Amino acid sequence: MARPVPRPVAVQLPELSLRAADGTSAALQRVLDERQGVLLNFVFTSCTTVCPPMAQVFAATQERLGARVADVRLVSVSIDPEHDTPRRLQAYGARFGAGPQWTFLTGTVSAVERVQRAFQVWQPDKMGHGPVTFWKPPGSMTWWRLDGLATSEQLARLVTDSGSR
Amino acid sequence: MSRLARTLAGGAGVLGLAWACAAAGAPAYGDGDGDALLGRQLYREGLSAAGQPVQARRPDGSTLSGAEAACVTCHRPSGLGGTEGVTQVPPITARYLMSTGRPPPGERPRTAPGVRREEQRIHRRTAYDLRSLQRALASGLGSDDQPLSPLMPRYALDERQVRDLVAYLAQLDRFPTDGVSGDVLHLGTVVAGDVPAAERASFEQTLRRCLEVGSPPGTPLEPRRPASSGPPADPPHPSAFPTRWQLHVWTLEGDPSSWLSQLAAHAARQPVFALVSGYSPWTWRPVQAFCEARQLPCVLPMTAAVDADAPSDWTFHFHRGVSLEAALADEFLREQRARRPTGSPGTARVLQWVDAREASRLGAAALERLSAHGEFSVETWVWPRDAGIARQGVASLQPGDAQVAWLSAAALTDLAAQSNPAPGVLTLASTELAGPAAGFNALEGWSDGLRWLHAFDEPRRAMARQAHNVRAWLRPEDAADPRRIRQTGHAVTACAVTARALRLLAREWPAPPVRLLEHLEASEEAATATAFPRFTLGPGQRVGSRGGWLLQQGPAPGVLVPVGDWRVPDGPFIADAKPDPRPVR
Repeated sequence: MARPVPRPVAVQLPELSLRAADGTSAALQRVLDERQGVLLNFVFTSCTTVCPPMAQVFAATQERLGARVADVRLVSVSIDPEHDTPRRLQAYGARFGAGPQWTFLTGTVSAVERVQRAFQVWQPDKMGHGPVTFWKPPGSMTWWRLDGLATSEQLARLVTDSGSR
Repeated sequence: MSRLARTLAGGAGVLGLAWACAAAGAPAYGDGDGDALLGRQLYREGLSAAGQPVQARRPDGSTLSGAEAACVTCHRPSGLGGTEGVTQVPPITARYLMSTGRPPPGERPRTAPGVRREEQRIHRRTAYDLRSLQRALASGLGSDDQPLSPLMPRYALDERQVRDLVAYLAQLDRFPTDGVSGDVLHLGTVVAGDVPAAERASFEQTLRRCLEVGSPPGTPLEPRRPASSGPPADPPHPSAFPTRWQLHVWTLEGDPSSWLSQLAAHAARQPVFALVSGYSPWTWRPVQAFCEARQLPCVLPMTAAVDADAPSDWTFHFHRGVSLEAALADEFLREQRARRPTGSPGTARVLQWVDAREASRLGAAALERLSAHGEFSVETWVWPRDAGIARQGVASLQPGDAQVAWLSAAALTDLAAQSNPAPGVLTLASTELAGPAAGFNALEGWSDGLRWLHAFDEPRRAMARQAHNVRAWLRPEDAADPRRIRQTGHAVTACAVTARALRLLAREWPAPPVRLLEHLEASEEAATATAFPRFTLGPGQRVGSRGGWLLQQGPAPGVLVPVGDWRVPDGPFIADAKPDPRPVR
């Protein structure tokens, strides 16, 4: 299976707040803090095909990293914000054994659309989405885009090779 | 005949399947020695015969087990798969799996000079048998010796388990075809007997006209008189999707406790494939219970009486009606409570008014349940029974307390005339029960603390947009009537969404009713005439709009404006639908 090849993309993070799974408001730019490594994907909880494998890959990445999981923040942004309330995201995280480093975000429809547009993944129909993962090394403002289903091994290596800690 | 076919062919229940398999050019597979119940457990829950989670892994080495590894997750309850983005999940019921892949009948791919089109793999692979299926599940190599999708997990199943699985996949090919008679597809709609005649006539006319537009050309929608009493003898799985769609209007009269038997009588006279829309503003639970019990797709009725706790695997709603209003009220009241100064008196009182309508009582009951958090206590009073003590009851409310009105416009006006809440007492009123909010002026004496629970778009914006989108369907005399505009828009939407899903179903016919649900989940693009700011569905989702506004009197008379943002209450948590089709044995 061909692994997705990371390519740099220009992402201009919008200034807005989303809601985390614990119901608190979360400023996007703070969640995606430039000092920390970030792995980010877009999912929705009722998705049947692409999202469960993507969530499983994040879950497996956590496991692979072991103690080094503290070096990275995993972020999953819902693209179905009205359905994916914080409570539903909490249940989704529990389903995949999300640890404290894995943040699930939802928000208003317009805010989530702005985030998707910033990462150039916006589709008018959520059923049109595909498997994409983004990586931002620690201390960097550059985002790398991995189109296709990344492997946990690949993502874990991005983190460990980034020299963070 | 292959080894698997020899093993599985024959036995009870083949009759219904035989036609379907013949249509696909495949041998028939019966139960054989596989246990379809155990296969179902494997397919739907990812559990082995011993009840243990099955283990699987993906090519990248990630592991999954149990429900995460269950086939239903990707291949859907119908077994017919689907498409998400560029990811295609192939159909895997026995008639597909055990026959050579082929393009869907009637598919004519576009061609261009100099471009050679290669047929998709799933359309040209060889048929599976037990051995090749077991190998595919274990190693990820398909019947054509090519690797399966990297999304497809690999399972260590023994031959017994694969036989069980195939027995269930064969069962998925057996399904009822109620409502299909030769080339006629029978569709139903439900209208409550107490709906005014003019509204009923307008609703029926809209639905018939809309289905004519959505159905194949030349479809007459007037039902033909049945040739004899009793259910017609429908042949199982007709060879082509019916091109003639007939709409049957089921009128339900009298006490709703008799509706279930009335529905059964209607269905016995003429079975239908699905119920499209429906109009019963204040009671719907018997119809929903009927749809769930009969596994009958029930699409977007117009009703406020939505019980968020009732099973809804086969029923789609525009929104959660009074259940949503109750959630909006609960959230707003808790916010108000949180803003009170520290040291304010204990639990706030919430006095709610209900009348005899089921929708009113559902809303009140939902708020009572939500108040279990204890941040306020709820007392429920009945209008007009308690009208005599309304003045005293409302006067007993203190600043920080609230009243919630699940009443008609007339009852609200009476209540407002008889009571005058103290300053600082909040009044929340249901627009579902009082009517489209655009038609309201401030209620005398209540205006300062009055908020409307409003589960639609902002009144003026929604009305203007809906009126524009349904202008072709509106009679001139209804063009400025907010109530008629909303009804027409929602009847047209229910029809358009259903028609689109039926056209998708036609491309893979014969297909079970549960497949219609799966297409309905992906038909939101046809919902162009709702009164909501947005309407979206998705796998397992049964409600199109999930939020609402709190409205208050605006600066101009008769204009209601939002208080704050569109709200999507975070609860009650409603699990995604998991329809489990009953097989025809």
